Amino acid sequence: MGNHTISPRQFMYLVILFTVGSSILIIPTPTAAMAKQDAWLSVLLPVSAGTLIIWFLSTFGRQLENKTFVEAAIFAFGNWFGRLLSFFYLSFIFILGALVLRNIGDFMTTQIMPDTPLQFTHILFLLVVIFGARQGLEVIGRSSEIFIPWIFLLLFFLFFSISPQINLDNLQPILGGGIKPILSSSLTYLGTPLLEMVIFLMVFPYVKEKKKAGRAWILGALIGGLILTLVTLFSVLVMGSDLTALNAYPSYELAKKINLAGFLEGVEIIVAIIWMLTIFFKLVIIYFACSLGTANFLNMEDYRPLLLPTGMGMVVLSIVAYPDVAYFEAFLGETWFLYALTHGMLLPLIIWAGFMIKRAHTESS
Amino acid sequence: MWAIIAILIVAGAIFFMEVPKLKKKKQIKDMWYVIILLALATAATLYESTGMETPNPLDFIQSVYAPIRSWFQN
Repeated sequence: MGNHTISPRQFMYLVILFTVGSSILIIPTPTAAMAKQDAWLSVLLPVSAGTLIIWFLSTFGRQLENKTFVEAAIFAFGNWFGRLLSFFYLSFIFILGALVLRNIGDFMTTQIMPDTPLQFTHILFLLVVIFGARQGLEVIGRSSEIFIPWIFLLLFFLFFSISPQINLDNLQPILGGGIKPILSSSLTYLGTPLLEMVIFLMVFPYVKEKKKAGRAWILGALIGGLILTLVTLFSVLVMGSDLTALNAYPSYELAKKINLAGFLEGVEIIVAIIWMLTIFFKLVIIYFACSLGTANFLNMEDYRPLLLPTGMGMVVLSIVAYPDVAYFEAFLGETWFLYALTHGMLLPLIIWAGFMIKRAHTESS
Repeated sequence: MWAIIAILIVAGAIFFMEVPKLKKKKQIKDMWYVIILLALATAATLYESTGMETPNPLDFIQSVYAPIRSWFQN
């Protein structure tokens, strides 16, 4: 579809941005609530375990060659059952997109622009995303190259300027609650960025040098995971686990606490650029995958005409998705992991098995 | 009232941005898909704007996974 290809390096940047986007706001609160002072361990642990998931997905992606996930599902399971499976996959992407949009909308309305109705924040943000997705993957990849130094610079600035306020007592006792709360809270990280990585199977066919791209995928997920570990670690180090668990946006609260010699203060909005940019990229990837998948599903020639109608639907879903933050936190804690597990692990496993059998079958005959 | 007018204007704008281009390129099947999707999205938006209780897919997902979840916790 078009001539868009991206390099493995750009792909890695996209994976980093995708991992950090919206998880940077979501992750610290539930992990600190469950694992207390060991919250950072419950992010670090699944980062290493998640390598296995990414390894499977990238191997699958390489075997797919130039087919997208939806095309592979239709190839392996035929027109009807394959489309049914792709429908689940596409609905997963669509719902995730609406939730990510709601994350940034909630952040803007509760912290920065309380008088602006949620709908308008969503519409404005989505318009930029639609514009990005319309430009195609090549432009998305190149703009990620421009913005990634800014993300790292701002993160470095955040960590550096908050470091005088670190209180090491907040971390003790390490493993005080035993290993069990860490394991159960690590499910949050597994569900929120790691199992969502299945979305990249829509992008992977457009990456050059598949072997390098597979490694870039794993490396990108590791770097993104380390960033999230550091953010959680610093939140706990500066504010303590109780305050981190109470705050809706601990990373923003962390930035508010920056105070270098009474001189550099109130720079939280500059730090907030981190998640505006990362959420933008996450949403662009989700959006691209969703409309490209729908175009594959319907056998259309181009995904671009679908962008605007999909956007209308996504704004509505993001508004009705949950009535309040408490509902969202309950959903994230109880159901999201299972939902992401079935769609991010079980579904690709089924399609992978079907694809391998079908491919062996067509090669032998 | 204003919301309904605004939604219809937006839907009309999207219609005139996408559909004539597809018609010109003779992609009639694609054109109908876009029209159907646009109609569905517009209907959902209109329904939501009236303030009626909109069915929430997240409630549905939660009810589907509730038995697995309770089995998981035991």
